[in-house]
Amino acid sequence: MMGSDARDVLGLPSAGPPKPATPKVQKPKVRGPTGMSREVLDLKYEGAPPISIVAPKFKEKPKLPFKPRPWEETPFGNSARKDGLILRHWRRKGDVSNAAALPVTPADSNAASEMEQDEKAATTLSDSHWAKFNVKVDKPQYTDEQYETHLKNDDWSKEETDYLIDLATDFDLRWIVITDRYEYQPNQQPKENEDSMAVTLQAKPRTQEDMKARYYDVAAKSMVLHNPLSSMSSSEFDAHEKMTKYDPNQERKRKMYAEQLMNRTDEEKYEEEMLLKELSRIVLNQEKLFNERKALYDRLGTPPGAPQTHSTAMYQSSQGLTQLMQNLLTQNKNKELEKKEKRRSAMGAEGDFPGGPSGMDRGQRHSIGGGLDKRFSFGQGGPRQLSAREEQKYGVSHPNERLTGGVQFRHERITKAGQAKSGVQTSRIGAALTELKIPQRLTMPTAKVVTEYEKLIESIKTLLEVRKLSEKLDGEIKVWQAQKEQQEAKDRGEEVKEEEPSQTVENEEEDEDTKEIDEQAERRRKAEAEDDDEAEDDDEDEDEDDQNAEGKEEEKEDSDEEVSAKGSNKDEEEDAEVDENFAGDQDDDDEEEEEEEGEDDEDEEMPDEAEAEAEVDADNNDDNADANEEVEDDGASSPASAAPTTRGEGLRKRSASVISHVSNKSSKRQRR
Amino acid sequence: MFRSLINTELHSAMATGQASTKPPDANEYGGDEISALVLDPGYSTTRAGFAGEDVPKSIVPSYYGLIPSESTPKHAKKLFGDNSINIPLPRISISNVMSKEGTVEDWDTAANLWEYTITSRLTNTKPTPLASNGLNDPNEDIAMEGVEEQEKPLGENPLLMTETGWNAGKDREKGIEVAMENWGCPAFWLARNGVLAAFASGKPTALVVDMGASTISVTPVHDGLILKKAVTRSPLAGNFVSNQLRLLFASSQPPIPITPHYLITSKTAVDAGAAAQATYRTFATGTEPHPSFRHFQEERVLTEFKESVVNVWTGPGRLGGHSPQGGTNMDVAKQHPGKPFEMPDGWNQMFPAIDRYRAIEGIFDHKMALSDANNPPPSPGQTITALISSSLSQVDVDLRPHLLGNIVITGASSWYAGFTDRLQQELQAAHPGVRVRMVASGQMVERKFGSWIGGSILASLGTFHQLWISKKEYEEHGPGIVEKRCK
Repeated sequence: MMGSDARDVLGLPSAGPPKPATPKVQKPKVRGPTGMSREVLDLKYEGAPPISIVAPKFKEKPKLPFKPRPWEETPFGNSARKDGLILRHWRRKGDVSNAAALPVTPADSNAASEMEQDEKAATTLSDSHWAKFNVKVDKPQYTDEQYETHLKNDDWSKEETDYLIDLATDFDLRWIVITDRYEYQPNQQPKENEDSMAVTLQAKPRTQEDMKARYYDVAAKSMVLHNPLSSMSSSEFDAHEKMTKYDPNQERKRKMYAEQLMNRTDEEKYEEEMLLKELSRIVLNQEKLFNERKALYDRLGTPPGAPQTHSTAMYQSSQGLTQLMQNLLTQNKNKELEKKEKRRSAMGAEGDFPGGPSGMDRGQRHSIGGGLDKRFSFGQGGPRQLSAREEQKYGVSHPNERLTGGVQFRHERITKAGQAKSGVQTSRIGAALTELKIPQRLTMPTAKVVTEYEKLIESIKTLLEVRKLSEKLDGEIKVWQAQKEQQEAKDRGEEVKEEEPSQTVENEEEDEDTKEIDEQAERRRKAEAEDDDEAEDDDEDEDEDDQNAEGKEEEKEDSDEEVSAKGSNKDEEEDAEVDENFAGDQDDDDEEEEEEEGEDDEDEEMPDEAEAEAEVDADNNDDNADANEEVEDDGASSPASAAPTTRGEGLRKRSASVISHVSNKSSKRQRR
Repeated sequence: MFRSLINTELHSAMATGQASTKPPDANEYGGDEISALVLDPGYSTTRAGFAGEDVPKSIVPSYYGLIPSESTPKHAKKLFGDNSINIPLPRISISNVMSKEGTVEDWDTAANLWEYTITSRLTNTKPTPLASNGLNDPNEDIAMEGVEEQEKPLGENPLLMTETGWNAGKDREKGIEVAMENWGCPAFWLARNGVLAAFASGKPTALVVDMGASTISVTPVHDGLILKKAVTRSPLAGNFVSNQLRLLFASSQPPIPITPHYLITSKTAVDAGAAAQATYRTFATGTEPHPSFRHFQEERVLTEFKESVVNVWTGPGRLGGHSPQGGTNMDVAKQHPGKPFEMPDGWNQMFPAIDRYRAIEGIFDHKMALSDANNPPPSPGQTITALISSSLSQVDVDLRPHLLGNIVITGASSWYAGFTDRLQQELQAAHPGVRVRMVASGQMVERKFGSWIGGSILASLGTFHQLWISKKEYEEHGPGIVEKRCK
């Protein structure tokens, strides 16, 4: 490369004027030592340097769109300070946006003479932006006289009170710090006249509560002294109220509890967590439980309102109290009304409402039971309408007749149904039920089943009555026949004639029994078996809907039993046992009957039965005695019973009455 | 001045259009800087810097070197700063201006040291004009007052100084005297370092656990004020761990020697556990450094060891206790990996985990502390957990949960691995009903200079202007004003 090429590349003017393209002048070829590269040789022999030299030049000063404003260390004052301290901070020159004028006081000029000199021209100093945050609590003010008259306290001297108030103001009522720094030393320089007093003074240990109580007391009183209560603003009044209501003892207690809470061990904490969980569970279930209880209260009839709320909150206002009184008054009135009614009304027939109302709560019950009598419903809720299904569920009935008997539980129906007034009859019913293979205690006593069960028991009772009656009549017929035979024997001599008793017999199977005339027990047994059969038939009719198949089975069994009853001794023995049981039960029955004044018609049958048995089992003395008693009791209905001669007549009369009664009863049942 | 530096920086930034031309709004951060200085003396180092900065610019050891003058033993030469005191000058001895309690012991030297701290890096003593410095005047009495006035190093900067929570009244008054009389500060403030550490974490209410070199202290702070009666402290801090290490090294078989760096001329690498092969420096008779110098240099080795090897047992339970899996925690610790460490002379060894844990366990469990005749065993009340409980027990009940929820960990010695976790565990076990929460910065600098940073924040606040004790107030009331104002 030649030097001119390099110049071209670097854009430099050529060393000399451009030469015309003259034929090349033969330059003397200089040959350097071999082995050197051409460039190096060029450097050595050509004149022009291969690189250009550019004069160094500084970067141009940028052109700013604004004039730079310098910063300067500006002195400033602070109106929150009393000493006029002047500090300096860096501010933009001429920037006075965040500084208010602060007049220079002579004190200022003394304090910072050096700075003043810088700012000689300026007559004002800017105030600190932060001076406005200098907020202090109001210090309770009082004079000596005011202290003497209003604020005197035996526990606190005036000096200590002053110290406390100064400290409280210093620490802006941060009581924790005040307590920490409280180091009151009683009067070091006592006044001359109180010398002796001051020596005895000793610093009392003060708790935070003591200090607070004293301070609040002083502050509240001095507040009133400066500004009577009547002219206080609401916020001032609030503050006053808070201060007067401070209770140091309560605060102490609270702190004690807080400390205990903080010092819990891990186990205690765990236990507390468990208890809390339990509590939340109870609270969750409470709604449900409460609803159930409320329903129960509603049914049993308690004053409305009380069970619903379960709290006394509603009775805390005077209005609530008046309402409660009104409620109670109405209730009282209702009670009295009920009592009067009850007294007037005779003992009503036995109701079938299981939870029969007592006089007390009838009004309430009516209000629930569909509102038969709206007169008695009170309370804001009004009677609750039950659906048919609910009525069935709760066993609500709407009886037409008056109900008696007080409050009962429905489940009592289950046990009551199987019990008759007398123990004898109860056990007989039981025996009948065992024969029917129906348990005495129902396995599934729903309302429907119990109703059916009751019907069954009722018919068993009727059957038993009828059987008794037939036995009695049989006996009488036998007696009369025997007498007749005797009479005839007397009339005709020794000839004994047997008569057929067919005309008086009610049952078709009576024929067989006629053979054993004297052994009435035997006959009674048979009759019993037959009665049972009959009862069975009845039962089958009634229970047909429910248990058809069973009934058929039972029929078979019954026929078997009938066969065996006729021949086997075993059955006879069983029967005897039953009889013994009867005899034993008799005692209890009598006692019951003595207790009970209102006798049922059924009880009238007892003497008859006893008599019949007495005739058979002469050795059963107790029975006899009882029978006599009963006969005496029954004197009114059978006046001639005492006389053996007229006995037959009495019996007949009585049997007639029994028949009429039974027919009455059955007809009544049918009506029902 | 750094401010003018910032000023020029701002100008250049403005020139390139890279930054906003507006300074940050003072309302946004509440700052209003007045070129205040913050001085935070501690047992190990003294920190100083300008308020408003995030780290102290000047960090100087509180230890100083003393070279006794041969002619006049009373006028010993004092050496300050890392560069001077680590050189084994003839007969150099090392002392500390602070007492083991963290308060100033030697006020004269302390004033010198602090002045050195401030003037070496932050401000410069103004050169006195030749015309008026009086040196050339034949009569020395003429202009002395004016000279003194001008020579004061802090004539323009308000000074915020820190002190411990248990600093006594005399020392506090001495502090303001030094600042006002010696340095000519226009304004002064004395702040508790516990409060400042809490401020540095942004907490006005906190329980500050400051684990320094000589003292570990627990300071309850409520609304920026310490609760004096509840401040507790004990000497189980960084130097205690160093002593534990010395005992541990002495008791190991064979004893591990600590040879500081200055004694080594050259060394060759050796295998773990093998004897060191190094040539040692010798000193001519009469020029040996004082034993305190060697002790100080050994401390530096131990500091390195503490930083790299020592670890806090993080449970579960204490090192001396039983592990939940059965067996003792000591057995569990034996399974943990060790850490190698090489002494300055080339001797090196894998330090087993049990030793690493053992060295510091005494801080938490006094029974685990090693002891000998010179190092009596610590009492049960001196452990860190005992300090915290005793401090809490003297605080109002209402405040305790707040304090436990704001435990500020500060101090360079709290930088042991696992320290915060362990403390959290111990405290939570001691207070099962309260939530214990640690506020421990993950930044080494913030942990080391916590109280200085708090002071930097406080002194740069606009609202702090009204709190300064001005020179005028000092002249009016005397040094007693510190007790009245700095509460």
